[in-house]
Amino acid sequence: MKTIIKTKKAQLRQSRPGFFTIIQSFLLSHWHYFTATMSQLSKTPVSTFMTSAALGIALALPAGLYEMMLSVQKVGNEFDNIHKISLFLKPDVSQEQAQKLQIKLKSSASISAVEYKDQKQALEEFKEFSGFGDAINALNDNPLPQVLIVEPSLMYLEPSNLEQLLVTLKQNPEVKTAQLDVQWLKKLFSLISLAKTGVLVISSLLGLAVLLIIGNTIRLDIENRRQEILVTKLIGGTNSFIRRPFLYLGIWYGLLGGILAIVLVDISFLIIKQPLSTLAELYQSDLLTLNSTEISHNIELLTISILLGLLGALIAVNQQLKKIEPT
Amino acid sequence: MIKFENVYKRYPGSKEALANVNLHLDKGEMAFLTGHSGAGKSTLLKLITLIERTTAGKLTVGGNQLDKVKSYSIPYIRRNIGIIFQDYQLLLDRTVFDNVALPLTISGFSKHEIRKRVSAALDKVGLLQFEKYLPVQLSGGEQQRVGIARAVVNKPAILLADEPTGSLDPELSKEIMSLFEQFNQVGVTVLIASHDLALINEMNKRIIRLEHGKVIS
Ligand SMILES: Nc1ncnc2c1ncn2[C@@H]1O[C@H](COP(=O)(O)OP(=O)(O)OP(=O)(O)O)[C@@H](O)[C@H]1O
Ligand SMILES: [Mg+2]
Repeated sequence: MKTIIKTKKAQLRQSRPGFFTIIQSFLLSHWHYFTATMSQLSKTPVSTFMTSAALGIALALPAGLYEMMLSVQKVGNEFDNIHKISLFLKPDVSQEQAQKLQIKLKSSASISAVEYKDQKQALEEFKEFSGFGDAINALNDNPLPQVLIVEPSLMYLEPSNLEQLLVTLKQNPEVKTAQLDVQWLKKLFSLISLAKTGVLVISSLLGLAVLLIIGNTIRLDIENRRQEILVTKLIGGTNSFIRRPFLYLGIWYGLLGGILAIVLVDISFLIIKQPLSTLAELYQSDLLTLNSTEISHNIELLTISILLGLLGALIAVNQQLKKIEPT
Repeated sequence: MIKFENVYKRYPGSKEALANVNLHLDKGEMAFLTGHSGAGKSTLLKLITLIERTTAGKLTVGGNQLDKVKSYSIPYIRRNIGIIFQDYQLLLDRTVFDNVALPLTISGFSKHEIRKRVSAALDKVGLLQFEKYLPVQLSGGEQQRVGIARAVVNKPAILLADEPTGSLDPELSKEIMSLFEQFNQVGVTVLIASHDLALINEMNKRIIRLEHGKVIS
């Protein structure tokens, strides 16, 4: 059995000797160009570094903004399901009356929970949130009213139902104002979506810049190797053969630029981290943090930067190769 | 092997460089192309290598009708033709070995095969010991022999040379010509453009004379 298979394989190899050689030399030549372009780049470390650094900066900006946007969005998501209504009570309402109202509201079908905060609690909270602690300590009277925080039942979370509930709640004589917390959330979300569009615009522009930088670098390299390209064309080199080393050059620039961008983003985040955590503490949010970028995001960034490198090289090569013809 | 039938070539904005050329070179033939400066020798060779395209007429080389060839097949046609230039056209940052290996690399030969064939070609032109040198480390005659090795390493059926001895002294020129003769003896069709009438007459081969773009004999 074994010998039969062996002879079959041997026959196959003999009947198509060219096939393996071609595949093998195809793969080998790609590997060859990958390493050859690397050593070409390492021969001119300064210009390689400068190009890569320009690419790294151009890539780091949108990558960093994107990462920041994600963490802001996370904070937003935390509040996504909280559509609470704050009832600020009239100053002459006693604590007893307030608690009575709390119990009354709790029994309503449209309300799932009611939290009571007396004036002191409200003040404490305000101090923490606003950061004006010392200024408030200086006040003699507590200017804040008692607050009932109403959490609507799940089925009342539709915006129209919420508005209805708000009106009903306002009709209680003890209530001075009723405020739907969702309003500032709406503002936050529209801000986030504005920021998203901004990041998209900046990313597109800087992506274009990356294409231009790589395209121009490759164009200069092609110009420098004009003679080599001419000779290669004269002895029967196909365009794809001539293109190959330049495409690998683009891939390398994309890779180096991407790596530098990751490093730059991580360094910037390290720098921002301290002030940011102070800010987060102030707002009592564990979510407002910037960690070094996730691996999966890094891989995405590298993929994008390599593709941009390849594309930039492709555009430059296709444009230039047409111009270089033997005469 | 090479057949011109009523071929015209006109460069844009100038008069005809070649007019009604009829010419036939058999397989395995060796011939010299001569004529005054501007007669059209280089132009004729450029048509064969598809560096320039014919304006009118029919040109057949090795079974391919060149006036019908699409530009994407040009590289594959050039691989069957070895070209030698007056200024050698070597890549100055590559070794002699790498220069000669270029046509094989282009065609995707294996490393092993490349080594074998390059060594054979360099041996043929007597430069085997120089394979690790850079072109600038060689004399003009040696550089031209590298050019010849590169042209023949692919075992092309046709060998073309435009003033291959133009910048060499008579002694070296003779050496180069006898190299061409050796390739011709193993069946390669050879066409050489040259001014050097004394040298050509010595070779005892067919001579094609061009004058103002016309073949006169
Ligand atoms: N690229 C070109 N554009 C326009 N005219 C050209 C071009 N190349 C050659 N010519 C013209 O075509 C004619 C033939 O030129 P060609 O180079 O073939 O001559 P030649 O016989 O090789 O001359 P030489 O012995 O000086 O090399 C000349 O009149 C030349 O001016
Ligand atoms: Mg000429």
